[in-house]
Amino acid sequence: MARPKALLFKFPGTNADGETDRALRMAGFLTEVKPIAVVDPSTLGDYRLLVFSGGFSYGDYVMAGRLAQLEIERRLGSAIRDFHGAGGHLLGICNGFQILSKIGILPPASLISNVSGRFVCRWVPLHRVARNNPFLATLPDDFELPVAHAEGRLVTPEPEDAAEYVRTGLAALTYGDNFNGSTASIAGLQDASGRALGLMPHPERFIDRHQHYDRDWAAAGHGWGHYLFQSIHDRLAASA
Amino acid sequence: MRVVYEISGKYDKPARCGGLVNSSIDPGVTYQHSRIYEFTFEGDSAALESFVRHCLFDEIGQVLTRDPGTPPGLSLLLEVGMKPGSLDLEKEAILSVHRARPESGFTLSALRLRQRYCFFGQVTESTERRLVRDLVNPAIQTHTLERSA
Repeated sequence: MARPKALLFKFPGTNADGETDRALRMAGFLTEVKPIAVVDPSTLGDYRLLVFSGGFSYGDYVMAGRLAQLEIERRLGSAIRDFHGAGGHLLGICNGFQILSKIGILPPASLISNVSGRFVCRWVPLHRVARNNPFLATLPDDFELPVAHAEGRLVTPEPEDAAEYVRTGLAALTYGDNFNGSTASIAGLQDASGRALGLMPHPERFIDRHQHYDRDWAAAGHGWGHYLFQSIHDRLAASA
Repeated sequence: MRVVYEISGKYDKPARCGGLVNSSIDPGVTYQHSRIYEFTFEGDSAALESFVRHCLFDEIGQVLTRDPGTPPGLSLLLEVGMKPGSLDLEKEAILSVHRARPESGFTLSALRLRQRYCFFGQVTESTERRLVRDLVNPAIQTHTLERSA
């Protein structure tokens, strides 16, 4: 079975690329980590998965993800939307979700300051809403992952949009404990095809069960985050 | 020409100041935060506003106000910006975005950024000192304070 290739974008301030790279490789991907300045838009078709990982791209200046969005527009033009339109898969984690939400691939939403006004670093229970998402295929309906963000409160153009996202499954994940005040407790969004997923929690920080806060945790062979990367790997490898 | 834009959170409400400072503070004092962008420019003001809307503003989660006033009930206004000559990375990033758009329709001659904190309630002199101490880094930042009459 051919190993699918993933490209992990790195912006000034991205800091979770190492962990995400490791998680992708552990799942079986061939990965490349490239600074945005050297990404050639004509090569995106060489990859099956584009990944935007966590961190503080451009210091979160202006607002989280905005300067990365502008840099993508300037350097890559429509190449990422073209990649997605041609059947490519995209994953955005935390700051990567903030970036994905701004480049127009996910349903309209913004991630604003947590309702507490503070950076929050903790574990959260999550509920899988989307039934068709290839990133979540082997995850149970309820699981937990760590979060670490200041701007993770999801808001939609109209409050009723969020309820619609949950009803239709565009809200791929919801929080079991809505600590950041997200509308309809949304923790992650997918596009209508399920080929693009953005989520605030960090799956790459729970790929080994020993990363769990409970040293005796043994609900699965690996940490829950591993199954997200494994799910998308297996789907892409099977369709090579 | 000179124009000032304020960008604030659409969902922000006056919040207790505990989230701003490093130790407990009078719970009766609340605040709201916004960003101030002061442009000195030549050219098309509509093009400048278009730039602001595309590059600095998010219509889903924010409110954009041109030439903002002060909110009712204000007790204390604190504005914090970088000292002249200090490296202001946010400003440099915005200037870089503007330079990458030679057809933007305006020329920037100056850009000044400030964080604006509006405080409500009874702000004592002691609380004011605490807020300034925790919110301003005097090595690289400058600030202005304005008490409402």
